[in-house]
Amino acid sequence: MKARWVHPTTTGGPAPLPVHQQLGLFYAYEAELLDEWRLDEWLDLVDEGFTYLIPVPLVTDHHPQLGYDPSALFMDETRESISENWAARLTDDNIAVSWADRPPVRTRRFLSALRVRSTDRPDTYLARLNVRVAMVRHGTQSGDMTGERFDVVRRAGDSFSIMSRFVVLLDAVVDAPRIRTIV
Amino acid sequence: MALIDTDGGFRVSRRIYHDPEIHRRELDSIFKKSWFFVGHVSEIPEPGDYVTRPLGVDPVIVNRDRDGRVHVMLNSCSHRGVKLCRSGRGNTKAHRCSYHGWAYGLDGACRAVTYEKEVYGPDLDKSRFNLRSARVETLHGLIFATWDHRGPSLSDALGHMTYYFDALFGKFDNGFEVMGSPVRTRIRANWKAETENLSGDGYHTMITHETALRFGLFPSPEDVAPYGDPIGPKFPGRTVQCGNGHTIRIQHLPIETHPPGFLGYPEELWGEIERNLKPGQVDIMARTSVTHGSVFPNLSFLENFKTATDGPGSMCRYTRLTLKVPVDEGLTEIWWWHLVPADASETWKERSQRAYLRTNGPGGMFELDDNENFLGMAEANSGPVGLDQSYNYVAGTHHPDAHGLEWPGHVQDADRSEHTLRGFLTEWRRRMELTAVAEPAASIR
Ligand code: FES
Ligand SMILES: [Fe+2]
Repeated sequence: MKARWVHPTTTGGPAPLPVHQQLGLFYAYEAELLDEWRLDEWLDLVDEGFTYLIPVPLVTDHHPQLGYDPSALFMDETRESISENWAARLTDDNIAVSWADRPPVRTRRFLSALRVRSTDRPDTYLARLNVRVAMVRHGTQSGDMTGERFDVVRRAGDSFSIMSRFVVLLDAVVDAPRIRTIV
Repeated sequence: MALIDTDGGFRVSRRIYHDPEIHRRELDSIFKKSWFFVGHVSEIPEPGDYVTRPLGVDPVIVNRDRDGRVHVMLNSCSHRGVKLCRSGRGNTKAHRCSYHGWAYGLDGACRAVTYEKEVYGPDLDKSRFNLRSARVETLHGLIFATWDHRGPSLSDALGHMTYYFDALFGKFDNGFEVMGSPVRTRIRANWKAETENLSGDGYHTMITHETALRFGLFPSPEDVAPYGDPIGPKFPGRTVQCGNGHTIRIQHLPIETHPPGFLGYPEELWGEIERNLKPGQVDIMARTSVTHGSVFPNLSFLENFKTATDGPGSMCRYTRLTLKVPVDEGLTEIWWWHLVPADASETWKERSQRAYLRTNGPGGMFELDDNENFLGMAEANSGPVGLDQSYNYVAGTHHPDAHGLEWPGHVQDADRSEHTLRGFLTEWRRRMELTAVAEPAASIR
């Protein structure tokens, strides 16, 4: 099968320490917006051309383990699709019929091992970090999505803008109370 | 009450979804005996290619041998049962066990026993230790297998469903291919909840998926008017009980197209669709809005349509297969395949994938709200009082039968109905009763 999705890579070395520190803080505040389902504000943190991809997890015998099928996706969203079909569900007008968002699944994002590398584009970095999204549906059914984020981010003034997010999940069987989530 | 009571209605005991004892009976009555979908030929194109799958609920290896034949066998060593293939996908010459090293060919035959003469003497008949093999048949590239070597053939088991399968999967000269490996998810719900919904529940759509309606994910009569002659505001729908528990719901766009228009497919493929299908099958596929249904017990198919995948005018179609594999009565593993016409362009295939993933994919918006219902059924019925209640399935009992169609099976001229759910549940009852009267001996090979 054809490889359709390219694993984000970079040739650059580690970014300077201040970039690590600033981006670490940026991600902490990003997690707050996502955990509070403030998707409209979250959309301000991502680039116009933002893409959000999750490949299909796959176990093979290979070492090192890629962990996914490079010809298969199970999440393929853009800034526009998230704005129109995710964030729009949470407005006062729509929330009453957004059945799966009422009550909202509660989440907390645990982020660690942030590594930022320079790329061949100015002020543009590849950030890799481990993420666990702990989730509880209706206060009782808990589960999580755990994996590694590969973000391409660009400096935007004092802050950053996320150009793309590619998440490699650990579990081959996605068993989470809510799969439609920004990991 | 009986588990399914059809006297003066159609009442179904909630126990059939939520009682662990019923689930144990289902494993014997249904999951050891039916034909099950296990994958698509495009997943194992080369000799030695294998994937690991459930057959019913048992783990199997699906592989292609050197002569190109597909075999399906228990993924468990005949010696002391260790799992042979540990990966989801790969290529191999043989399957070798990690415990004592017995090795099996791609046809499941036991080929090598370690230190054979020393451990077993000179007269070991290795053929007694071939892997437990399933019977395999393919239809339009879909691989089906069954543990039942004496039961009906796949085409006999599918019966009238074959006609609809030909329309769905036999319409392109070079068939379909998978867009990569299937996704696997789990849901805390009974396997029948989503299966009966996908059998043809056209009644829930506007309620459960109201946000999708508001966001324009369903085509409106105005969206599709430019592509044919409008016939009014209503999307005509029909539901079919195909027999043996197989079902389909077919909903059309409110337009007529002359010649037939297969909206959402690449136009260069329209000619072959018309050439490969009978007139009644063309009538199914032309101007289709959505069609979905189930092959008893746990395979569901869906072909759907998104009007503006990449902006206005970029309508695109996608085909999905889902397999609902029970883990227990309240937990189900779902396998999801996305199929595309092999001859479509890469650009089209990727557009189809976007259309699919954002709507009917495992993380799509339709699934999000559908799941809320299946989870809710499980959550609200764990107590003894809940279990003593029934669910009712009488919607659309009075709807008229459709006449004058080439379509086989029991066709009704409506899709806001539980016609197909009754078909699914009637077969479920028949299969459960068959086993109840037969000797309930555990058949251990
Ligand atoms: S269990 Fe497989 S060789 Fe012994
Ligand atoms: Fe639905």
